[in-house]
Amino acid sequence: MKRDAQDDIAAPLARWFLWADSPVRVQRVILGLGALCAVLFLFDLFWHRHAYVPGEGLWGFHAIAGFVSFTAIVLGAKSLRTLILRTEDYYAPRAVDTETYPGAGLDRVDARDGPDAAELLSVRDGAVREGGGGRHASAVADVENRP
Amino acid sequence: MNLVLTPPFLYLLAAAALPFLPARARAMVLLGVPLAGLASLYAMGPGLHAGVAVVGFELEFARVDKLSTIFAVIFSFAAFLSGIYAWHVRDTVQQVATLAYAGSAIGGVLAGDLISLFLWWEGTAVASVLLIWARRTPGAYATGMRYLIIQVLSGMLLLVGLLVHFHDTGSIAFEHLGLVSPGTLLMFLAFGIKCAFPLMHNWLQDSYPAATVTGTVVLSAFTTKMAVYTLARGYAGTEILVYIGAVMTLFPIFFAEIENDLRRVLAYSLNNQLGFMVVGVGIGTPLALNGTAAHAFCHILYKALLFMSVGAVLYRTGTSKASELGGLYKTMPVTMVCCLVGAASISAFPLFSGFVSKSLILSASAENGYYLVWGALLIASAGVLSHSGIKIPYFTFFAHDSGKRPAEAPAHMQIAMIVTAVACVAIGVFPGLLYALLPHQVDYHPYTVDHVLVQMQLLCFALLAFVFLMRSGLHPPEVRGVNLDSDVVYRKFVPSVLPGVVAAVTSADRALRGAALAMLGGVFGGVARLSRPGAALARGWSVNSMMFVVIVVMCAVLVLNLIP
Repeated sequence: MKRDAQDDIAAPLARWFLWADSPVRVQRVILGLGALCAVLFLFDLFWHRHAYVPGEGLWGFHAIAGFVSFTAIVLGAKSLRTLILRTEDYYAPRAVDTETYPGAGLDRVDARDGPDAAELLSVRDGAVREGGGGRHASAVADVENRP
Repeated sequence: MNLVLTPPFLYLLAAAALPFLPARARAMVLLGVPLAGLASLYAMGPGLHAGVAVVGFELEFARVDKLSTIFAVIFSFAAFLSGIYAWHVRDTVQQVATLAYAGSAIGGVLAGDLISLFLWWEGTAVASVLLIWARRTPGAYATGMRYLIIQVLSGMLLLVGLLVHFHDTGSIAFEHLGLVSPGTLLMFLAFGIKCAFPLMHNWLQDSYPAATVTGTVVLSAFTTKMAVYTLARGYAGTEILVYIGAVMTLFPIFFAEIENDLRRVLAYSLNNQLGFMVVGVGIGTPLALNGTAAHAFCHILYKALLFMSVGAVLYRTGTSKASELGGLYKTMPVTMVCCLVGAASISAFPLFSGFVSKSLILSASAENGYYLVWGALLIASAGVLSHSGIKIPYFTFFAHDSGKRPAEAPAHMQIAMIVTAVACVAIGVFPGLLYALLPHQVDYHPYTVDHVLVQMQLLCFALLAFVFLMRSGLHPPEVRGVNLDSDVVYRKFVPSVLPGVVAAVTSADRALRGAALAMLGGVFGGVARLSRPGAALARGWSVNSMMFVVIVVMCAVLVLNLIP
């Protein structure tokens, strides 16, 4: 965490997503997702779906298919990696993998120096601080409450 | 209509004029030409236009019907949107290449005969490689070379195929071909290469991440979808395509899942989306072909949107590697929201564009009894969510904080992304807008309770699986590295054994020549020895011994004559 020594910054629109930095609120979102899944699963109880494919009409077919295939894909890919992962310079120098992108095609700007720097909010513990302002944010230690 | 006023030639003319214009005017031309092309397309109306007789062949440069129109329209949109996104680019090479490439792709879908198709087919190859070379690094040069060789190989197959086909049938018309003869098989392979069929696919994942920030956005739209169009035109209902497509939807998922370069993840994901379209072509019913056209349309938009958002991150941070990114949502929220819209669209969440196009193909596969393929598409749908729906936005904008706080994407990139995102949502909310463009009359309702319910069940439980995998630590971390794919054969194995093979052949050749020379030397030495003064050949022969030799020879002839 490179910015623990001072308040973090966020663009105005990002305030709606600051929950992603708070483990407590992320937990709440996950519980919400769990509740939604439960509702969708139970929906099959009283809604008769028209099945186009044999077996598709079974209770919870799509829910289970989603969970199982996602898990299988991720774990399958993970084991595939043990076979096919090579170092980044494996094809060098005849590939772009280890090259840095030429600076002429880029415009690397830090948000504090960007055109919208004046609008940046000061953020601490995943919450917007009053009287913020990116460039002039006060230095406040902030270590604890981050994932 | 005048040939010059047809869309592809408008693009080419503008591309030719571009180098003589000032920078700002060039950027405006890049926006104006797609609009002019669209106007020209609609001014022509359905039918055959711009026929040209060349050495006895009647070339049709503008066949406008519903199938070619929907592709030409979305190609024009893609060219326009990439023009906004690339507003900052001052590199004339890229601008000329973009126009020539888009024009060639539109020419390809409007081509009414195989010869003009071949010309545009090669046009896309030559124009697009410049977008890779424009990165101007040794790696990009080598990658562009590999790309060009494979693209031109596809063109050669098409040319040979069309010559054989012409020899067989006497026709160069580009209508339904079917896999019926060696000629049509060769053309099928040519289309298959550009469509990134399994084992012919690696040019795509190799080259697209090597192009420039804006070049990749342009590349993602045209070549592969032109190939999908040619398959839909020439090989609709060819059953093997159903299975090729099903494999295409499945195997890239695993590679996308573990790939670190996010632009390469998107290239694998592009490959997987092409699989859905190819399945639709293979089924070949009106519903399935509608699905293919609709999916190509939606796919070009959301794929461009995803490439734009990752491109904006690359533009601001200098990297598109997942292992180097994370936590960018705080200072790039507009890019992040647009990326989420693209992710939701490709994952086919209801109210987003992918939902209204992918369900056509899934319904068609179920209706026509391809239950296994339907199952494969279902698994692939969960896979799309994993690599494009979650991995791209999550590891770029959330996940572990990289500490990078780049400025938001420049205004013109934001505009391009917002317009594209709005288009994705508009198609999702009002599918009738898209369905009106489809090649066949449709009576299809994506928003039934059944459809929405099963899709939400599939996606929400897949999300739940993601949470489970992250929490349990089973989800593979993002690590630096490259993953081997089938291109290792021509990038590593062949080059590594080639010097050995060459050395072996050369040394065998040298040994053989040495032996032959030694033998020859021995013979000459023997003759020389015999010819020395006083030796057998230099001696004067007596009449007796000469007569003896003649008798021996005559006896030999006699004996040989007696042998039956």
